[in-house]
Amino acid sequence: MYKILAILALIVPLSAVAQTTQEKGLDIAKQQDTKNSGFKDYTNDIVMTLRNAQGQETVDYLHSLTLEVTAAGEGDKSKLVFDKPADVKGTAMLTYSHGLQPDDQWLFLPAVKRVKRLNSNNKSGPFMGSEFAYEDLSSPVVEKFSYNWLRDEACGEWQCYVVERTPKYADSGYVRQVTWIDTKELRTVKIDYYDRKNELLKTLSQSGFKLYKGKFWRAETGKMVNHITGKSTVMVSSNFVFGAGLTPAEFEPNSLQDTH
Amino acid sequence: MSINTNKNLKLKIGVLLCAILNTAAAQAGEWSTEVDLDYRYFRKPAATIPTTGSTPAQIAASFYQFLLSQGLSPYNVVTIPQAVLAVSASQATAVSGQGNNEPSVVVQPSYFNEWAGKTNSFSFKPFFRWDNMDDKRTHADIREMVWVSKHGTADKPWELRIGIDKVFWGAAESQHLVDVINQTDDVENINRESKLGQPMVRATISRNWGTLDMFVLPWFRERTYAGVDGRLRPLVSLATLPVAFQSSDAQSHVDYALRWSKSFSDVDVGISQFVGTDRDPRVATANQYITTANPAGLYLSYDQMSQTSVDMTAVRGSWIYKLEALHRDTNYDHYWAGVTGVEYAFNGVFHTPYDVSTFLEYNYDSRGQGQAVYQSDVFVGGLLNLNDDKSTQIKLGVLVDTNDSTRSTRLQFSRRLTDNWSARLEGQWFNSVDSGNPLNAYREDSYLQGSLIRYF
Repeated sequence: MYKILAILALIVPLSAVAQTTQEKGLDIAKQQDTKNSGFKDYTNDIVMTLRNAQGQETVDYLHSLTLEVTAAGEGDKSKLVFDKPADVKGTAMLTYSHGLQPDDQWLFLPAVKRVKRLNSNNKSGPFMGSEFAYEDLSSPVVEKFSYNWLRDEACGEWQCYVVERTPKYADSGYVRQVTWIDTKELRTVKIDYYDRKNELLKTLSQSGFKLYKGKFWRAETGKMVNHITGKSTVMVSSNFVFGAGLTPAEFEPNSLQDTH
Repeated sequence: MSINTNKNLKLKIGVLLCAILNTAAAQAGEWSTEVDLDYRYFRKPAATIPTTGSTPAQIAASFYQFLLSQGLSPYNVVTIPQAVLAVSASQATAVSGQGNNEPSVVVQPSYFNEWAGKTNSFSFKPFFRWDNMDDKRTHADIREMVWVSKHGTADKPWELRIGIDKVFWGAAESQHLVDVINQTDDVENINRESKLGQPMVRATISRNWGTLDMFVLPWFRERTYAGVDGRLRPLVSLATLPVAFQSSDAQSHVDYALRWSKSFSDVDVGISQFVGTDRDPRVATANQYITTANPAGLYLSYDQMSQTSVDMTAVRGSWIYKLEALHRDTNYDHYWAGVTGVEYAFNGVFHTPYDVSTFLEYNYDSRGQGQAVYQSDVFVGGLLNLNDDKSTQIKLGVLVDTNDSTRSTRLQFSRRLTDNWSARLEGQWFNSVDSGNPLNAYREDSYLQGSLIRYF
């Protein structure tokens, strides 16, 4: 008996040491995923400010509805509705995000009341002319990336895991991303995006984190800076309502005609 | 239409409106308005009757062909060329409102309100166009005036819509073949994308086996056509013809439709059945309609029809496959028609953020050459999306008749100028139009249209 305990005492710390940096990276991603699961649904408003290199600004207003999908390896369902500018008011995009499979996407064109199926390979394309690509806005699924923990370091007032992740899905615009995740609450503080030439393309900085339902952290501000063009986009999210009672029927393509 | 049914409908709508407005008044909704300043320029003068080198029969042959394409039976048209000549001559002497420059203004307010935890909503979208040239194009409509209420539980939800609404069915780009609920507002645009509001009661059930839509359509809307002074019309303006209905209920004939649709992960399918008044009128002749202005006794007949249709979209990588097919039965005709094709996307072309979608579609109609626009036509198109902060888009589409090589080309450009202003450009060209092609009616009507849109 003592022998067994002695062996265990040897093995347990050893196995912790034996965890590779890849395993540690994956572990952090899984922890982050677990921490964010169980929210069921939420809605929020978004104000997106696009700024070009000359400092000229364009402001878009949207609202978003998200429904949690609990199946393993599957992403959430989300609906993004444009409120302003007036010419795109009522235009809506419905996305079923998946792990490695391409997302399913539908666009609603209010002028003709048409629900149009979209090609989902357009991952690296800009969203509404912003610095956010479609894949940057896709709901996080652990299976979408392979991970590698690089180091721990201070990030502002917090301590962060620095984890590199490599997209495993097709048609990504990135060869890799480096993420800073705070060790305490697993909030994503910063992401560096490296393009296919492995040059630093963009940096996303998230701030103003707020806690909802005592469990779910959401950033108020996400600022994406393009280092090549000097353009930036600031996305400010507000009015988060968790547990709004959204139903799967509200995320059917057919339901897009009800969007306002 | 009889005065009684008209009154009755107005009363019904009135009661409905009061009920809805009472409920909605508890909370102020949101109003917004769109105003379009349009300028349509036709490069050539309108098609006229040539005075030299043609016999009357030859002259009117094109219109005769057009009538055939509108369902006129070849058996009773022996006298038509001459008769048509007389009408078109009389319409031409009343002359010639048909100019080359056509400014017009659209005002389109929109009201929306929701209440009871977003389970109920009401939207109201009237439409008004004032046109400088064609008094038939100066018209008003209620595009939407609908009360939507959600019922049932999260697992077994259903939805009820009562009022005037618009519904779109379909998958293809070159035409909207199976889209049958709303009448076409043809005087707006010949692309059949402008629709008149349709009075309806619609119940929608969503389950894991799909979505079931049930429609009761208590009132029929006649198609709008360009008037005598308008462009994009055949030699005789169809707006001037008398209208008859096969059903004695005329416009108050109740139509029904049923649609099942479901999205599988990469395939969307819809199967629909429609029974009621055909949205496409048939041109016919009858002695009772003979007047000096209409010596052939031409009239538009709205027949009863039943239509079964399927529409499908399938996604595979960068490819989207599309199919629409229908079978339609009337007392005068039964035919099937289909459109099938692909869309292929190039994302981020030439290391830019631009996306290009390309389209290739084939249209078939069993009624054959001269009887339908899309009887054997290939559509090639492209959509360039600049993905910029101004939402700039350019669309180009060419429809080619494989039998007579008649070509119809459409170019569309849109761009936001500021938060409240947008600009649109539209070009429509008809090339090498065969005299036997239904589009021959529009052969001189190629146009360019510029629009400035202001949102309030």
